[in-house]
Parts: sequence; structure tokens; C-alpha cells
Amino acid sequence: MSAHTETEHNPFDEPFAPGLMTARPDDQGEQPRRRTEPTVVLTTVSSDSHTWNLVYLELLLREWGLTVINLGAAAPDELIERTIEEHQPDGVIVSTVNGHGHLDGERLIRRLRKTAAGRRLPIIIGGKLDTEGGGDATAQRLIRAGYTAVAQDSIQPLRRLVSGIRRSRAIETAAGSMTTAVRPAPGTPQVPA
Amino acid sequence: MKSPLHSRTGSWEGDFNDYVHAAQAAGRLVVQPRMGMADPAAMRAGLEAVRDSTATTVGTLTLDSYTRVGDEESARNAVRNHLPLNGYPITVLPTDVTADVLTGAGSMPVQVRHGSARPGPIFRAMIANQLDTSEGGPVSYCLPYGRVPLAESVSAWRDATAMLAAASPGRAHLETFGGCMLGQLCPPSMLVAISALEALFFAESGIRSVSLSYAQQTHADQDVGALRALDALADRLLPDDVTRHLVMYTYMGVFPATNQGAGRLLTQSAISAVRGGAGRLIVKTAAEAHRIPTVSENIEALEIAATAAALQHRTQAGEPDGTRSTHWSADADEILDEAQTLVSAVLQGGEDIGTALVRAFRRGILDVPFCLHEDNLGETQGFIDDDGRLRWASTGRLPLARSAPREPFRSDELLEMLNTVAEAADAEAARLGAEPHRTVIVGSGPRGIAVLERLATRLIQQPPEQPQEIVLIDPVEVGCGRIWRTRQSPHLLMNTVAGEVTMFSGPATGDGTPAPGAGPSLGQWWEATGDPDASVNGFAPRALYGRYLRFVVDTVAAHLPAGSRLRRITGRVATVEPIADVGRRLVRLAPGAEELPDRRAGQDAKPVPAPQQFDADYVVLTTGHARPQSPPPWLDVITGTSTRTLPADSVADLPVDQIAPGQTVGTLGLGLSFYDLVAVLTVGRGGRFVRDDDVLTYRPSGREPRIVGGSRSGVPLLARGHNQKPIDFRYQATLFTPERMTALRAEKGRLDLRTDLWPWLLAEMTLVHHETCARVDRRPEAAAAIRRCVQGVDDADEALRRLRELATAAGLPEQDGLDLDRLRAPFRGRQFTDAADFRVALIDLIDADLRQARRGNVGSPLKAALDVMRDTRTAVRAAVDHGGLTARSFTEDLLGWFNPLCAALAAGPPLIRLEELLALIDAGVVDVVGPSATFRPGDGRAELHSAQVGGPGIALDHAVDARIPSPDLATDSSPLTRFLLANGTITPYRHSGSESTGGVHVTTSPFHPVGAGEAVDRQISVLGIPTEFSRWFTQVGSGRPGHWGDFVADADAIAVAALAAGPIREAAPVVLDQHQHQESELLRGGERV
Repeated sequence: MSAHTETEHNPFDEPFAPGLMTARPDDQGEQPRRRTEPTVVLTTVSSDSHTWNLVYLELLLREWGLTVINLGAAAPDELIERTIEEHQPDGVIVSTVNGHGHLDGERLIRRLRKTAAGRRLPIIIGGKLDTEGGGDATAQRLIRAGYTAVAQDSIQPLRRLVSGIRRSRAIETAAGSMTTAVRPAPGTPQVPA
Repeated sequence: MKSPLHSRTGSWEGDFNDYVHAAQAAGRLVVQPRMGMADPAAMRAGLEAVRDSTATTVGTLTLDSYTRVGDEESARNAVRNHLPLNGYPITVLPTDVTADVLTGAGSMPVQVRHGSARPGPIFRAMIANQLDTSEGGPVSYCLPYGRVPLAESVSAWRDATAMLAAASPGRAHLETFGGCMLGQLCPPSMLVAISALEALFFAESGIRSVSLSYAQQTHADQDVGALRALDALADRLLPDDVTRHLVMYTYMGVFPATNQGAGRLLTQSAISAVRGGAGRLIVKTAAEAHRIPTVSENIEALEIAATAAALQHRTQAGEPDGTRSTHWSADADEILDEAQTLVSAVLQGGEDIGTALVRAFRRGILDVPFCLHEDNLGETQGFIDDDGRLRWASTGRLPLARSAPREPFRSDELLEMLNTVAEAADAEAARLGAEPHRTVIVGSGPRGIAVLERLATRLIQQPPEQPQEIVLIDPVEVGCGRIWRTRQSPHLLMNTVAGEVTMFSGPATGDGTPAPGAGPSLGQWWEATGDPDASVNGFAPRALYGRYLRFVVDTVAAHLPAGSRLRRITGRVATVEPIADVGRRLVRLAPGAEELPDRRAGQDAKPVPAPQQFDADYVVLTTGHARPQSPPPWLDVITGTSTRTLPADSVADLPVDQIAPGQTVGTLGLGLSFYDLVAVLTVGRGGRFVRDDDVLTYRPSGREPRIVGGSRSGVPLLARGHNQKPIDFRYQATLFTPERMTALRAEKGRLDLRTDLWPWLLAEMTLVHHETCARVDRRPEAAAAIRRCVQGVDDADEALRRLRELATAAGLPEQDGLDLDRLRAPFRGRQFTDAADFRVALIDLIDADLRQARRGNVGSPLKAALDVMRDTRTAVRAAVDHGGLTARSFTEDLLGWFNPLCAALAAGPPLIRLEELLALIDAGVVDVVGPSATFRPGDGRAELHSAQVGGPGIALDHAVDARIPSPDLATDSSPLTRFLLANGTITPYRHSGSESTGGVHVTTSPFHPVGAGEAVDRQISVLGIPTEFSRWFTQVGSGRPGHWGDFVADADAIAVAALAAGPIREAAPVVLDQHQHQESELLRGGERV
């Protein structure tokens, strides 16, 4: 599946974690300004009290033209679930760096995938997900649990998520529809416009 | 069961502040790790390691995340099922377990660190465990980390603080964490304000002992200013009965990627802490950029920080008040001004401080940049300005001057700011790393060359990536030093046979081409020169040894691997002092130093002026014999007579030309210097010894003076037994072993030389004596039985009893020949009628000694036994080095008795010297005046006379002190020694409370100097004679072929330390531990507490 492909093929020259702090988005070109901007929920997992990653990602995502709902430190699962229900975002970005992401993140996605609002939502997780640098095995477990993509060493999944959101918005706009965003097609090759 | 030892903050008597204040007064920065393990045994071991480090420390119990958020159920479950936790779960472990953990701290205070917005249960557990020191605060443990509403945190903290204060009135200590908000990008004035307000909050809740934190930010001078402002603000704000200290945190933002960069930041924080008046530092390790550090990494960080702080203390101590290091600055003014404005605005409402804090955040009077907590308005931003200081970009609703309007930061700008400190530290470390690694060796005698040889050998074995430079400096002759300089009388000989002397740490290998680690002994080299006098069993002239030493240095220079070079400088080192913020040592040379051209530049190249100074990563002080400038104690006796005084010094340096033929020269001392003096004034003046019918006679040249010697014992140093042992012989002791002495020390602490050491040495000597008696009596079975009878005996007196019993039973000859005190002073208590009477007795004594010496060190029971004193020096060192003896035993037994005994009996000249002495006495050129000899004023000229010999004294034209002076820092005139003493780099060794000795106080291997305030400089080693007293018998001038021995092992340990030293030391490689792996973090926004 696509997400797996991403974790496997992501070049390591664009680190995502610790690349959260080192990747330089090179694609802040013109973005379609729309009346209703696409919205994402940005959160960490319940046990993680780190916030600089969230501060940075919020700025980055805004620069990419998204409205960001930043839940802050140590967001409990039910808060994330409730926020998704209330705001019906175009996607969810889980950023965690305390090494417990493989545990807390798995529990979270199983819960979200059982909800109506979260069932088909693009949800990606990234950062430092375990204490071992577990790589592919950790990523695959999280994919199997329900994440759309896992970003451990690259910012690419984030770009794909955003470009996917834009594409589906574009489709919606074309169709005059305001339905929920759909999961991007497998192998979507682009980065945000 | 609670340990009675452990009362609240360890068994420390005073409170936490007393501990820190005491250290501060002694010029030490208290350093503290972050450390928390789930396993009680590991936690205790961690505390022990912190306690045992060389730094002055506070122990830490960091609690786990479950305990921090009050999830006791999960913590209990983890303990029950042995699941890993990222800290110590104090609330769910029984108090007897925690009491046992705390025994690991000993008398060191322990602080509980947690990070909880609701600390009640934690403080309750602390009280149950008699712990009274913690940290945090209603703001600092709420806003950055979680979702607990600020009002809730304030009330939880208020209740918990009051409870802790009541449980331990006056002693309970809390540290504010408010100076660390978010770790980075919060301008100092906000940190100072919150830190001070939290301290006030604690005081309002009954705490009387506080510390106020501040975390290192982006600019050292600004950090120092912030600490000063924090202190001033606390002074204004806190009630008079609240005691306090400041605590600095090493940078808590994104950490450098390299060990060197991380170490640089750590060092900087320690220096800023001292400059800013902080009493304590919470350190961070290089590993923390990637994972939780190991205990050993923590210890290393503690010691690096402590060393940097001690150096900074020392630097400041030497500065006039108000210099750049510490003065009140514009930074301090600016920060205090802003912080005071913030605090005043917060306190305006007049309500209690907790309520005021909640209100202030709601209204934006306090607003922490980049903080996502919903009770934080988030309208402010900090930024790093062009000069590197952290300032306000947007002041939001803060009651401060409105900032110029600006665009919000872009993500890439934020990223750049978050990484600024880390990148600057890495870049600076890289810049320093591009310089060659430099080791400066001060003094190129055998000790310095031994270090050089080991450095070279190690560089060849493992060529380093960084270019290496070794600078060898000597004031007299670089490559061999003053004592062994190549231009001196050929009649001054060594005291060890040439075959037993080597400066290579391994024998020649392969085709025999000499190289570092593999080269010829002095004897082999000498024979290879084709010199007809050369012999491995001969005694080489000292000048020849000097040539050999220079050959060793040439060999080193020629074999250094690419990228490494040796520089040779003839000159005097004037100063060695720390460059604290770089972590190197600045070595300044006195004017006039010259550098020898690089060997590869060609032999005829001329010396060039040397650089005036070097930055060194490591300095080795091997300065050898000092040149005493103090007048001899007997000078006033001579003053007013026409007798002239020659300085006490190496004979090679005496102005012997001033002694005219026919004059009379008197010496005090009949040791090796006496023999040297006799040689240069006899054969050195053209006299000759002629052997005829096995009798040696002296044929004078007529240019000799008359030489009269005297000493306390009246006995010229007796001869060593003729060597009959193979060159690579090594005696294996049965009774007096280093292992036994080490075990005794471990068992008893300090030893008594007379009762713990001497019986074993005497038994060992008696064993060899009796064994030799049996062997020379041709009774090998009796010899074997003698050695067998003491096998496994673990009582020295018992061993001695068995030896004597067996010797008597076997009817061995010469059994009673080993009366050492009598050997040392054979004339004690005897009175001689006149000089002739004494001369007869002396000649008898020398004749008897020569008979023993000719039987050899294997054939003479006496000489064989005396050789044991030389062969077991390692065991003596194991017992006495670095404070092994009690104070009484050190002064009375070692200095007062054992050392003179060893000097008299274990270090003799070759027997030819005694034969020559007899010949010279016969010829009337030399005479010995007798025991109890002193100078005294005479009729016009001073006299040498013996209190035990009747008749007149002998009138002298020249008086010489031929006793080799003990090293004495107090009289050492070397400018370098004076400088190092004055700036506290070295201190005289003081044996457990007794008076100062004249030696340099050093640590165990690799022998770092212990300076003022017991600060250890880990980038300096002191080796050899200057360290006498701290160590024992340092006057060793060569290694022995065939085995390393202490001489090479010491040099090698220093070589290892020198190569490992750097501007910032590399962290040792570590094996990751599962338990310490748990909370590995990427971004360190102050999350670990």
C-alpha cells in the first residue's frame, strides 16, 4: 500500500525527525487562496509533553495554506476524537517525539478508526516513534493499525498529505461538493503545489 | 527500616542552602545531574557514583512519567511486572526500599525532581521518606508540559508546599523551575520574573529555604547579567528569613550534535554560573541530544563542569574586583528593569501571589512565548538579535516598552533560532578541532622523554584523525635535560649498569631499526657505538646517557606518523594557565626561547626564535630536580670567615674551577654527590688510578685540592653488590608484595609503616638473606626449605619467627648479619681519640663492605638482602603513595626513618668507587672527618669537624653541601613553580592534616595536580621528582629492559590522558541500557526535569 511505499522509499536526506527542526520547505510558492481553507488537526499523543515540534509544524502548515487546530501538549485520546467530530478536518497530523508514539499512537488510531468522523480521514503520524530507531517494523505496525502514512525520517508524507488534501479539495470544488475529504489515491506522487 | 544515617537531605547536618553556601565559599560550584531509574539498586548505584565523583555534588531522584502525572496505578503495575519506567516511582515503593536507595547518597544532599503540576502525592512520599528538597513551581510545572489549568496547578502547589514546609519546618527546600520556561526563546527578563515570583510563592506557603533557577540561553554575558538580576530581584522580594542560592541550568534547548559542541556548551554554562554568582549547576550531557545519558556520562559531565567552574573561580580570584568576568553590566540592568516591571505589575492586585499569577497570565501581564497552554495568551515572541542576545520580538500585552511591529516568524526562521545555540557550539568546536591537538612537555629529562616515547608509540599504533603536535621544552638542553646534558665531565657516571637502562618501552624488533616502542637499551646502544669502554655491565658517563636520550628523541621525531610532529624548544616556560572558555591551557615562554629546526629541514639549519606561547590541550610537567636558591642552613656559620660557599646543586653545575689546587674543600654529605665531587676534582684534574697486584693506587696530577667529607653517620655511601643477575632479572617477592599492601590498605584505611609495612619488608629481606646463606653454604635443599616455610603465611612476625627458627636449626652461617640500623650507623655511640683512630675504623669498614660487594648481589647474603629494598619499591609505593600512611607514621616513620635508611642502604655506588676512595685516602687526597660532622667557625676559616672524633677540626677554603636536597616547593625559585603556586594550579602535598611537604600534591595516575580548593586540573600531569611526598621514591631516571615497571606505566597513563584531552573531551563510548532508553527525546524544550 502507498503508505508502506512511502516509508520504504523515503530518502534519508530529508530527515523528518529530527528533521522537524531541520527540513526547509522549498515549496512555499503561490497557493490557491480559497474562502474556506482546508483544515488540519495537529496534535501529539497523550503521554507526550513536547511542544516545539507542534509550534514549528503549525507555522509550516499555515505557510502551506492550511488552517491548523493545534491541540498542544499531552492531548488525551478523547480530546482528539472530540475535536475531529466537531471540526470535521481534512486531515490529522500526529507529531510525537518522546519515544512512546508506537504505543500511544497505535491505541489512538484504533480508537479514531472506529469513529464515523475518523474512519476514512487521512491521519499520519511522525516524529520519533520509539526509543530504538525501530524504523520499518514500527512503521508497518502503525500502518496496519490504521495510519495513512508514517513519517520517521522524511517530511514527504506530510507533503503528500497536504497535496492530497488540496487535490480532494480541488475535486470537491470542481464538483461543487462539500463532502468530507477522501484518502489520497495510492502512489500519489506529488508534493504540494 | 529507615536508615538512621539518612535524615532528609542525606546526613548533611545543615540544610540544602548551607551545603551549597559552604561549597561556594570554598570556591566550588555544586554540580548535579538529572538522574532517575526505576530499579532501586540501579538508582542507589547512580547516587553512589554521583557521590563518589571528584566534583562537589547533589544527588537527584528524578521520578517517572506516571508518578509525575499522578497515575499511581500504572506506576504500581510497572513495578509489579518489572516493566521499564523512565524514573524512580517514589510514591509506590516502600519506605525501607527508598531508605536503602538513599544510603547510596551518603552525606550528599538529594533533591527529588518530578515535573508535576499536582505535586501533593509526591511531597507526601517525600515526607514519608524524610526527604525535604525538591523543585518545580505552580507556573513552571504547569504551562510548558500539560493541560492542567493554571488555577488548579496553583492551588495544588499551594497545598503541597504548605504541607512540605510544615513537615520539615525551616529545612524544607524548594527550587523554582521558572527560570527554565520552555527551555529556549523565552527572554531572560520573563525567566527571571517567573523564577522570582515562584520563590515568593514558596515563601508565602511557609518555605524558608529556596533556590532560584535560570537556564543558560543564547549569550554568555546576558546569562551572567540575568543571574545577577535574579539575585537582586530575589533580594528585594523575599522576606529576610528566607535563605537562597541561585541555580543555573545548562542549555535546555536543541543541543549540539557533536560531543565537542555539547561539551563546549556545558563548559560555558559552568563558567557563566560562576560569573553570575550561582551556587549550583544542573548539567546536561552530550548524549542528551539523542537519548537519556548513562551514569558514567553524567559523571563525566559533572566533572567537566566542576573543572571548568574551578578554573573560572581561580581566574576570578586573580582579577581585581569589577573586571569583565563578574561586574554588574548593562545586561543586568536591562533584565532587572524589565523583570521588576513585570513582577510589580503581577503583584499590583495585592491578593495572594498564587491568585496574582493566575490573573497575570489571564491578562497577558505574563505571557510565555511559544507556549501552547490554553491559559497562556501566546501573544509574545522572543528572538535572537544580531549580537546573539535573546530579546523580545513582540511584547504582546506585557507591561513593557512596546516592540516594533513585525511580521510573525516564518517556520524556517523559527527553526533557525531554535538551532542557533547548537550550531554555534558545533561550529566553534569544529574550529578548535581543526587546530592540531597539542601536548606540551615541560622538561626533557628521562621522565619527559618517557611520556614522549609513549605518546609516539600510541600515535603510531593508532594514527589519530586530528593533526598532533608535541612540544618538548627544556631550559638547558632539549632532548636530555640538565642532569644528563651532553656537555659535562665524562667522569660523572651513572649509578646503574648500562644494560639495565632503557628509554624504549619495548625491545628492538624486526631488523633492529629503532622505533618508538622498540629500541635498544643504553648498553646495547653504547656497544653499537664502537666505544672501547662500552659494556652492558659498565657504568656509563652521564653525558653518554644524555646522548642516548637525544637519540631516543631523534628516533621519535623520525617515526611520528603523518600529521604528527615534534617541536623542540630550548627555553624556559614562564606560565601555564587555563583558557577556561576554550578548555585549553596557555603555555607562555620566557623571552629568548629558541626552536630547533625540524629534523626534516636538514641538520645544518639554525635554531629560530620560538613562539612566545602555545595553546595546549595537555601539559606534562616533568621538571625534575629543582634548583634551590635558598641559602644552606649552615650559612651563618660560614659567614664572617674566609671560607667560600658553593651552592648545593648537581656537581655538574658546581663552579669547581673556583677550587684551586692545594686548597681544602669540605663537604657535608657522603652520598652520590660526594663521589661525583671527588671524581671531578681528582681524575677530572688529571689524576689516574693504577691497578697493581690487585691493589688500586692513585697517581695524583698535583692539581687536586684536598677533599674532606663528613656526615651524620660518618660512613661514605657503601657499595652495591657486584651485579650477578641477568639484565632482565626481576625478583618475585613472596611476602612483601604490592597485592598484600593494597589489600592491607583496603582493610585498614591508613597504614602504620612500622607495624604494617616494615615487618613484611624485613621478613622478605630475611628470607633472601637466609636463603642466600644456605645457597652459598651449598645446601640447596635448605634454601628451598627456607622459602617454602613462609609460603602462605599471613602474619609477618610469624614468617620472621619461622625463618629464624629454621636458620638456627639448619645452623646457617651469618644468620645475624642483617642488622639494618647498625649498618646504617655503625659508628653510633663510638668515640675516637683522633683522626687517625677514626681513619683505621673507617678503612676496616670499607674493606669489609668491599668484601661483601665483591661476593656480589647473588653471592653475598647481605648484598642480596639489601637488593630486596630496591626490588620491592612497587610494594612500598602501593602502601604509602597518595596518603597511604597515618599522619604520624608518614612524618616519623617514612620521612624520619625509612627514607634515610633506604638512601643509605638501597642506593650505593659501584664498588669501584669504594676502591678508589680507599686509594684516595691512602694518597692523602681525600679524608673523612667522622660521624656527627658539622661546619663550625674556626680561626679565620670555617672548619669541618666531627663531634665523635677528638682533635682539631679541618680548616676549609670551600664549603659544599653535597646532600641532594629534598624537593621543596617553598624554596624552588623556578618562575613557573612560583606562578603555578600563586594561581593555585598546584599546592604542596599535605599529609592528612599534618604540615605541608615540599612536593606537589597529585592525584593517582595520571597524576593531575590538586590545586587550591582541591580543584583537580585534568589537562595537566605532574610526574617525577616534584611529586615526591605525594608519591614515594620519584628519583628514577630510566626504565628497565624486559618489563614496564612503574616508570613506563606512569608515562603511558599520562600519554593516554594527553591524547584523550581536548578543548572538549570526547565522551567515552557507552553501551545503551534499556532502562535509560525510555524517554529518548528529540526536542528538548525543557521537558526533562
